[in-house]
Amino acid sequence: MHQIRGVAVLVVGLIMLVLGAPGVDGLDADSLTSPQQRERLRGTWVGSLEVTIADLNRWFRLPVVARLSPLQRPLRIAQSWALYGVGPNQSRRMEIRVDGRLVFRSGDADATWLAPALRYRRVRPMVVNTCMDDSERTPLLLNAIRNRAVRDFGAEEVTVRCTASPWPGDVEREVLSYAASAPDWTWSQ
Amino acid sequence: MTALWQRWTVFTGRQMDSRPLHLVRVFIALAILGDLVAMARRDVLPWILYPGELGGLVMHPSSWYLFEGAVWAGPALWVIAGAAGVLVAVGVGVRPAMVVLLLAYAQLGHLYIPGDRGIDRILRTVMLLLIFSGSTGSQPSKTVAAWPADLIRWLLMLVYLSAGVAKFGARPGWHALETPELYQIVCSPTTGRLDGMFWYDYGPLFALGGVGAIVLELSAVLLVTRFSRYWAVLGALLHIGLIFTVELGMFPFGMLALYPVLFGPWTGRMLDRLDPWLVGDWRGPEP
Repeated sequence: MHQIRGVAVLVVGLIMLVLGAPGVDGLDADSLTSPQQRERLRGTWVGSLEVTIADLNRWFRLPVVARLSPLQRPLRIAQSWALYGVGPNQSRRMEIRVDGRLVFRSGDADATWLAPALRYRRVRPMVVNTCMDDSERTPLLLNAIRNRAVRDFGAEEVTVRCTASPWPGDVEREVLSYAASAPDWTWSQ
Repeated sequence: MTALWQRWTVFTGRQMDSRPLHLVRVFIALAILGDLVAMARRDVLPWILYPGELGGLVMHPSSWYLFEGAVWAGPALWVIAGAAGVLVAVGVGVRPAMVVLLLAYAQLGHLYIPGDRGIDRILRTVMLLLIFSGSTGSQPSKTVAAWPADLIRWLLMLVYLSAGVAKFGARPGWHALETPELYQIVCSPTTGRLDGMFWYDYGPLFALGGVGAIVLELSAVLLVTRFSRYWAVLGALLHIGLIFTVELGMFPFGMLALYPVLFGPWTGRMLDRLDPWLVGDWRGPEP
């Protein structure tokens, strides 16, 4: 029993290490493969180290990861942990107007309708991606907002607008705008 | 080699006070229950659980989602996860309840992929470890094998180290004196709780905080040493700071749920002080 437990703990620990290897788990098979990139990096010892790590990852770790990754999928326990690496490089906001009246604006204490929903951790990524024009789910979020506006305000027209500004956020410009109105509620950009 | 292996098997088989693992089990269940309740309180249940045709945000569930096309399945999974979470938290049928919680929670992640975040993966990984541990067995025990606590410490070491290394590629950087990454995160209108205009002139303060966070994360190797408890004090302060500055939902609470094993013997001593008010498994092992 002691032997089996010893082997099992060792194997599980090694699997966690290989799958979630800090700093390496974000590298793929194509990382640092172009001759120009490699030549440029080899000029410094840090660059040489980066190239060596990328090569070792490609030759030894990725084949193991390819075999082990399917084990993680049923329970959604992917061991990749590069969390909170960067902040947003611009101050981005979403604004919602219902029949011309501002009812929601990200981070605005005077326009908080839907704030609990749109700031919820499972919904927020869709808000961010919608404002970066990078989500196939955008129509679903827009429709969900429209349905709530009709329910809560009896809305006839809904406008969802995204703005971006260099920090600290006082020079906003519109980057996206969607509008829809009754009765057909088709979104136009 | 044989001596080394023998030391390893003795190490993985050693016993520990079971209460830190019990606390982790309870806190994980509470963190998940809190998140499930938040879904309802924030009025996003239909968004998270229903497909687009029914006004929800669900689109293309993962191929591992077992109930594609069944609109009842999302709400059913929410109810099942909630019920299993309550059983895990109160300590009734812990192992089967945790298996059900793990499966239902994973299916919720498969259903609505963008909402399944790093903390969900961390908590599911720990639940999987706990299911095989002595702390979820049907026979209550004052002491259990320590390997689940060791693997939780190992997991957290990898999580924090990865987070620390990931911060190196950022531009302008966590150390930048003007709008460093920490400032951007805590002042982001979508997540942050701080006013970007007011705090704009305090860039160096955020740079100091950001560099401190990196140093702390890179020193997470201490989690697999006897200094784990001292590191955990700073780690806990980091997460408590996040609760007050960024609206990350379950993340800081889910991470803090794992800290009873990092605090190690301090957790036991704290519970010993509460001994007169504790019952059953929660009372400490006989000296």
